[in-house]
Amino acid sequence: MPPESVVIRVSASLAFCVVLASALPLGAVDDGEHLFALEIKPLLAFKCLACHGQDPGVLMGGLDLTTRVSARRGGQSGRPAIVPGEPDSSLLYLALSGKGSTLVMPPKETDRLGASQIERVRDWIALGASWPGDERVREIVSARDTSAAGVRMATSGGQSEDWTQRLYKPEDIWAFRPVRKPQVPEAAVANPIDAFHVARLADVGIEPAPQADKRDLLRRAVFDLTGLPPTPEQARAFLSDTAPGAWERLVDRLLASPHYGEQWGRHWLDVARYADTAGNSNDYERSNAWRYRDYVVRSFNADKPYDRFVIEQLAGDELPGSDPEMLVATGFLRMGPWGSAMVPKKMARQAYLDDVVHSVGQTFLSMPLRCAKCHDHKVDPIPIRDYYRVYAAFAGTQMAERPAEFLTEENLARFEAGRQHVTQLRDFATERKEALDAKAESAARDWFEERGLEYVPPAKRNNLPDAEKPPRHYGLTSADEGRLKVRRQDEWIWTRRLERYEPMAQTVFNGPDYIPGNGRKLRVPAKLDADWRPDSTIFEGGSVHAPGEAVSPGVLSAPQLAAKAAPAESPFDLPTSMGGRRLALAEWIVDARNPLTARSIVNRVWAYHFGTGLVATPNNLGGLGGEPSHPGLLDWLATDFVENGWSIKRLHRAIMTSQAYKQTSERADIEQVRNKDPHNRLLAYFVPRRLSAEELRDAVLRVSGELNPELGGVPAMPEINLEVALQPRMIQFSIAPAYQPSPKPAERNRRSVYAYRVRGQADPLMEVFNQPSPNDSCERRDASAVSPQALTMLNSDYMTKRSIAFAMRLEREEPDVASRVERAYSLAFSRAPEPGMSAKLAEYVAAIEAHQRSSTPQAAAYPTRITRSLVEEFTGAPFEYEEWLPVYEDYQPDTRAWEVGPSTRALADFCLLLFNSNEFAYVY
Amino acid sequence: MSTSATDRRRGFAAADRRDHVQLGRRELLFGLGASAGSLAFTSLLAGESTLAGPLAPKAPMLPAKAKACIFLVLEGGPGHMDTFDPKPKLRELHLTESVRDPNQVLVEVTAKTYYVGSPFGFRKVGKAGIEMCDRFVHMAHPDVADELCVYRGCQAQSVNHPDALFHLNTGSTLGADPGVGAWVTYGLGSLNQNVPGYVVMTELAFPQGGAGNWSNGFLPAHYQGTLLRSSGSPLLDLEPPEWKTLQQQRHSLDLLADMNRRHAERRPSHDELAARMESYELAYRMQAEVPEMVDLSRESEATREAYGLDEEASRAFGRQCLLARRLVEQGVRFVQIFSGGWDSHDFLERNHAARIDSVDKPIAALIRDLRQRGMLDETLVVCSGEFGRTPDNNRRGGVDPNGRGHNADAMVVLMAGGGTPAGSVVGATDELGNRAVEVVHPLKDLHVTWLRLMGLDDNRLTYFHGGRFKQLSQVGGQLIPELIA
Repeated sequence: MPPESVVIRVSASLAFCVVLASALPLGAVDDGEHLFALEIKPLLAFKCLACHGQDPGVLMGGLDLTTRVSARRGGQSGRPAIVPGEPDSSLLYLALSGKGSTLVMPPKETDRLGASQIERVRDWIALGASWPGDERVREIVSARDTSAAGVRMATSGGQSEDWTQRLYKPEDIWAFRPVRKPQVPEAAVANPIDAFHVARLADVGIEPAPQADKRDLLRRAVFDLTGLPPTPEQARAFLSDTAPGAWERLVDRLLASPHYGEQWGRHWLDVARYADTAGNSNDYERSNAWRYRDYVVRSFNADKPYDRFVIEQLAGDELPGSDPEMLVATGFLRMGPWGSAMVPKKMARQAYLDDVVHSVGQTFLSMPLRCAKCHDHKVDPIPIRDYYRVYAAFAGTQMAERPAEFLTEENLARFEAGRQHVTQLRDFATERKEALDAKAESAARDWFEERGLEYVPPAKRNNLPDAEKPPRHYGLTSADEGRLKVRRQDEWIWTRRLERYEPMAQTVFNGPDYIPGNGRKLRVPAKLDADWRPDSTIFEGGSVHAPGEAVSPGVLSAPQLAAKAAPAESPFDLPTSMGGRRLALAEWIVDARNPLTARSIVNRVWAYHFGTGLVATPNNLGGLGGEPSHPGLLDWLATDFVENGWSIKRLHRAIMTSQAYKQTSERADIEQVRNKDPHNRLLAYFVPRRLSAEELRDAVLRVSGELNPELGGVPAMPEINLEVALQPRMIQFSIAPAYQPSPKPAERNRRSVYAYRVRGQADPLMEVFNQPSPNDSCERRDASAVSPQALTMLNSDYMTKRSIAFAMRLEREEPDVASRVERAYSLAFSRAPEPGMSAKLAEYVAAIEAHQRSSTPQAAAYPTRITRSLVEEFTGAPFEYEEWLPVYEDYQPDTRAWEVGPSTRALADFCLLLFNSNEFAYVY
Repeated sequence: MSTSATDRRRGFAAADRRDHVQLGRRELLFGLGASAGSLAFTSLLAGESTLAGPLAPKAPMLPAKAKACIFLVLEGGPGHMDTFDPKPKLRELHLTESVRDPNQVLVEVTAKTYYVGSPFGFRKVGKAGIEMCDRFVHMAHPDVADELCVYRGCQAQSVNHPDALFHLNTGSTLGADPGVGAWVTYGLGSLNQNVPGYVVMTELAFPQGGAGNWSNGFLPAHYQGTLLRSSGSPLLDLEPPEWKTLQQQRHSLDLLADMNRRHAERRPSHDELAARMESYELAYRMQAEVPEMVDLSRESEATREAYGLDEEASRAFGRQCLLARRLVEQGVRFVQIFSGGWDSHDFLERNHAARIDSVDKPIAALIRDLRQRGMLDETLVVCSGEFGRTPDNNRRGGVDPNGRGHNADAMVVLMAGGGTPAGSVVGATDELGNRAVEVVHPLKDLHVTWLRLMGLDDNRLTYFHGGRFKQLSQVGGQLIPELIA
């Protein structure tokens, strides 16, 4: 059988466990009354009553399961749902178990009951289907022996008593329990991480793998900490350092490199969903988003304590003082995709807040909150009330671009050139727009004149009847109509882009709800109503049109951790003042006793080092996430992290200096190890990883010698596939302008973390190597091997240019093919070619050169004007317009194939092979 | 089946692993489609059954009516009352002030609104007497019209183009989920292993939301929609630079294979290496196969004419419809074509007339061609916008309303073949076309029904991601039995 179908079947059968297993109390109960109170009643409520009694207006099949009498009566089938003592005659049991002929309930397969639950229903009916009244049920529930049945979690309370009283299995709510520093296991190893690691492996009788060889360790460390391949100099320094402590020195050197912040900042930006545009209908540019990106990079480089990092991103604007960087930091709250085109304002506002609440939970607490938006959480102890209490903490948070002076640390290079480039594009649009307006107005004048009517200027025509004014777009051809829309929109787009160079930040402020026209320009209104307070309520079923119970701002209640300064009688409340809600929330998040926060971040860091977290789902530590593979280690790391000032660099050092991290990926007994631990959760060897999209591109540029290591600044515009760059894409009123790369190689060949991220237009080179969509938080990169990757790496213009640059570098640096091959291996693989390989490669280069002597690459020019076309909605017909690409008028191209001779092209072909090789793509 | 915590954990571990922790060996052994014939490949998997890549054909879960789907998306939202759902009452009320139900999901308008009568006449066509606006000429032929199933009961959710397009195309308004075609190829694989299983063609411009409309979302990348470009190279970077011959490239690939083999000898535990090597071999084969597949010169002049390739108005869409037929014929599972520009807030008559002219002949030809080749019964053809339009509009640009706004409560969806009831009209909207009132279903039910026609059960076609098993309908939906013949 094909494995896929196996997997589908497995997933389908697992699906219902997910919802059921942890949501319902379990335990050995043997009398019918108890069984009903503790298990059957909640199960009916959870699985059946939505269609069978909860709403008297909705009685599917006429069956009402709210009372024993109505259940015995049954529905339209005329058969009783319950025959006390006779499960096999009870339609309820037959339908739940699927043992009836056709009727299977619940209708949705993913809602179906598990076998043990079905057995409990059977037992209950067999025991006489007793149905105690509400009071008796309450008695039984409060008297039950919780230690056997599970754990009750105190929360602010669910929408039903059943939910509030439900029991959880300990392994589902471990993350809500306080972190206690565990005893380090007794072991013959000094490093505490290793003690935990070895102890877990010993449980299943596996020895840790031996240490990887020095070259593998070098590449592993350099890629892990900087996202770049080792330079030959770095390699030499480490490989020749035989004194004790060489490894520690390497790790320290790398942690001190500014490239460290780029690599680890990028990880954070994956989680935060960084992009330079807003997505949605218009994909408006967030012209100053780059400042948040650079703030993240700086924070990692400075080893900013993580607790501080959290506070700044959630409430930088509420901190005392007027540090502009704090406004930039709060850009975190602007990272989600958002747009308000055509959406009723209330719903646009809700979309923003839902996004923020969910992402704050997911990012900082590893507790996605969206599951509690419409109902109490099905699995985790998060009532809908808590969702809307956190929602209320943001209810006064408004999006805005605000003035924020530039910092001395910020890279303001090329502002003038950028401004000039954008200004000329704006002027190009404005001139054309004005010409079209003038054309229409001149026709309009004629129209009035021909009818002997007095000319009325456009601004005053609006309310005239149709017969007394020229038709809309009078005097314009259908192409003109389309062009006018395009130019108008372009004028705005370029005007907006000029703000990249202004001291502004994409951030938030506290104030009354506002969404100005179309949401394209979000500015703090001149007058704010200081008395405004949000009405915070639960939205029933998640609908903004169904406000329910009022709530006050608050924190999650399940961790039972009071918010600072909260009154004793309501310890989970946040301030109700307009300002300070977020700051108080952030302080609660980074309270040393918060059980989620430190576990979340140490697990994320671990996951990036090992490929898998101690909890395999870094965005979710709840019942739907994984359980820790090494619970003691996770808690030890979390406490150690907090005790030592929330230092992430210290955490890297602790992890990387462990033997666990230094294990090899190969071990002779790998088959036995895989039998015992198929997913390597116990980390019995190092799992090789494919380079991420950014690492791959950066490695190529580093090796070809083209990488410009400059830090930060306005988005870099690398060359992307030209067809994609010029591919028209719809925005609300128009099509987005073509993508234009930066004019100079050094500006284009920046690290990938600085590349312009447009939600509506991915760079295909990045996308094909699994760069995630910034619309969704990414906890871990995929690394699939698909053929379009091969096509890109072999055929693309981008890779061709990199291979030529690499070849030219080799020609500059080395005198002959043999030494060039040696050098290429050293740059790309940090090693020498294996014996015999040099000669083989030299032969290959010679053979390709022979080929190339008879080949003449054709020169091609970059387009400075392009004709674009789209279907115009006024006319339904395609029209064309001209777009100007001024960047290509003064462009410094990379060296292209027709500019070099056959020998360079042959060497480039060899270089391209190195870039395509598996050795280049993987870290061991 | 047990619900014990341990079992569930184990399940998660397995799901995690599938998801991302460690893809299964087989999954990685195959690139975009696997080829059982490749020698290198067979030797790698000696002893194991070979037809088992992520895109290998899989048996449907349930008896299937359709094997393939061609999904035509009319981006912008055609007016249902201007195409397949006449509302004579609107003519009577033309330009009188309209009353809006505040509970309806309509585009927000603060000014007064006025009813707009359809500028088009209507007549009943075919034996089934399907009502069709008279601008449709070719679709009105009985041999086409009597194949149609016109569904008027569907309701969307959002009145914002990208959200609504994401909803139609991925089942979620959020824009990060897998496309319908991704789910279908995930569930059924593809019948041709040398080309992509899910192919997308767009209008001149990408629709709002762009490639998010055909992404693989959280499914493995093998299921991503592959954009077939209308000019130049059909797939991005399909061909090497013109100065490299295929012979030279073969030489390169052989050396690359040699380097990779040496590398793999040093890394025997590393399963992914073989998959990556195979993806290169497949890429090499695609370079030969894909251009042939999209070569329309192999079609007869009569066929090209039938699809409207000789007329300016219908050439682009006609070409895409003809390509869709060729692709399905050659084993592609899911083809999606976007026709843009249906968003008639203004100048409804001019716009819709031109848009209808651009699709009328191609769709008619597609249906007739599939029928004549005996493919229609096994090919589900769907044609839909992301929402319908309002019966009214506000004054725009200072003139009387002559267009319509966005309406999520009513729309029209056309289907043909693939097990849908030919010559039928299912469901109805109210007298003014404000909202669906008969056989009313949310869009997700339509998704469930399409999957079912293809032999897939939405509740079983799941993928573990972000803490739960996800499915196209998000949380489950109902079958629409009226849409199944």
